[in-house]
Amino acid sequence: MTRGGDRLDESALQAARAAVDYVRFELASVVAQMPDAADLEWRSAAQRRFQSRLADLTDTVGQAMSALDHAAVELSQVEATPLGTSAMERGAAW
Amino acid sequence: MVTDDITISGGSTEVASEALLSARAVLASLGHELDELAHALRPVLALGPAAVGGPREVPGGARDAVRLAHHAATGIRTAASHSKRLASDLAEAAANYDDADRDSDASIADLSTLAGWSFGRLAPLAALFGALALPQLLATLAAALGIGSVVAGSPQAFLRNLRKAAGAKASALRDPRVVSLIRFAVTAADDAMLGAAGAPLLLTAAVDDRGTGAFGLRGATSIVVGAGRAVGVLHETPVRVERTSTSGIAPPTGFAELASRIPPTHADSPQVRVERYAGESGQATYLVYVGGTVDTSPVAGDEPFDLTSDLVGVAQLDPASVRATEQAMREAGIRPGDTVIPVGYSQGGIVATSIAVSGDYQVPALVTFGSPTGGVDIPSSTVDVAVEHTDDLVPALGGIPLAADRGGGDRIVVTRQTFSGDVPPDSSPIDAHLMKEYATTAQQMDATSDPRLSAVLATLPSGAAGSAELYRGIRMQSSPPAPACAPDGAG
Repeated sequence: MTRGGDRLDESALQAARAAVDYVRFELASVVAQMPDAADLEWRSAAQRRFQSRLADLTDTVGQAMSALDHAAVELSQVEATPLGTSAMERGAAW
Repeated sequence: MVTDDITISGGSTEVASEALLSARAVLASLGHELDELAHALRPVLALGPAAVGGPREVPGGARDAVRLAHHAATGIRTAASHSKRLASDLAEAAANYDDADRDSDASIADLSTLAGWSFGRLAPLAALFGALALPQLLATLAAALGIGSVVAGSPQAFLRNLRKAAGAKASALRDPRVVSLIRFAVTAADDAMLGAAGAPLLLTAAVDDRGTGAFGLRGATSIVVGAGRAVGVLHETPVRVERTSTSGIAPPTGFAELASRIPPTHADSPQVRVERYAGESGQATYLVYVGGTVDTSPVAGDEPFDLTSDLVGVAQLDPASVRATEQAMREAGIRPGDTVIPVGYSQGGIVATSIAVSGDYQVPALVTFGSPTGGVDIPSSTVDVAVEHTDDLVPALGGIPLAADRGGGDRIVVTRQTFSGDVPPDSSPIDAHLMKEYATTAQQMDATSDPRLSAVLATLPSGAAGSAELYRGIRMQSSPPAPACAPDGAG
């Protein structure tokens, strides 16, 4: 929600920031819980392919974490800048 | 050190390592967690145009945050989907491995029939060639002995060096590939005997363990026992038992405790332990623990857990170790129809298996460590857990078990290789058979969450403490004298 059409509602902003922080924390936990490919016995080609797919999965979660890191930075700048102009990408199209 | 390196197979025909099952469960759980995390980003996505009435009204920093959060949410949903699919594929891979493993075992077993029979058929020809080549062979050996003696300093030194070299090479018998080869050879032994006797291939296939089992490993071992008796060894004797101690004991709670309660393999020591636990309904449960081979001489002395019982046991010809255990069970108060859980190590596993297949008792579970009992089919009412090290020769002497879907018993087989990397050069082939190694494997079994093993532990008695009695079986070298006529003339 916005307040006055050009500023974000404070509670919505806080909720967004809390959500980003929560998901970042939980994603880090997810990465920590990922199975270790080295623990498994590779006795078939299908199981060997598991190793590269697990690496892809970890990479996807890592990219999501990175995007959220940037989102957290942007949200922190919204709080610091009343009009919410992006410091990184000022004037960028939606 | 307890590590996660056991593999559990059989028991509802699923094959998977504990690590693989664990990875499958973790990935399935993470998939659901990632789905929830994608939803948790809704407050950020709500800052987007729909929430503020139009794109131009969203502050620039928030626009970027929403775009990034949207990108992250898409990635998290993708990861959730991949995680769940990976868990599912992992289960399928395990199942496929199981099929391949079972088919491979069946093919190898089928091949053993042809290989053994062919070997047997060629044996007379090989013997003829051997006889023809004997003079050259003897000449070569004599020359080798002469040259070797000169180099070593004396014939005794040469033979000593030869023994040492052979001892150093003995560690090769711990190679799991060699153990598998021996298991194959054992499986083919009955076919080789039939081939050498001139039996046609079709008849051989019909009566071996893959066929009707009319001959099989049991028949082949019977012939070995018969041949041994013809030359004065492997003779069976009557046995007696004596109780050596009685004490109180709490029920076992895991495989490590079961392993630790098996009587150790020492000369002149008790070989059988019987525990009794009174159930709530008044029905007692007995645990019968049976130890391994004590005496490896082929000539029977006073020890019933000897080589004679080993071979007679594989031939299923009522060995002294089984009779001693049955006597101990009777003295402990076990009656036909009672609930008995046999636990055995090495030859003790043969005895425990014999108790399970006797049909005399209710046997909810059977646990064997390092026993050559793969060829014995256990009734489906008994959950059969066989712990076998892949580098242990002894269980390989039981041959290749018949698969459950081919009429064999549905055994739960727990395997482990006791060394990592190359075979330790100075190790003994018997190292992998030591009870302390099986105790380590039992600890790892307790650390798993495998439902098949949990189901076995659920059959163990629980609650109040029971009693434990130790028995020592002793061979009697001649039949006990017939009882003298009673004064009243009875008998």
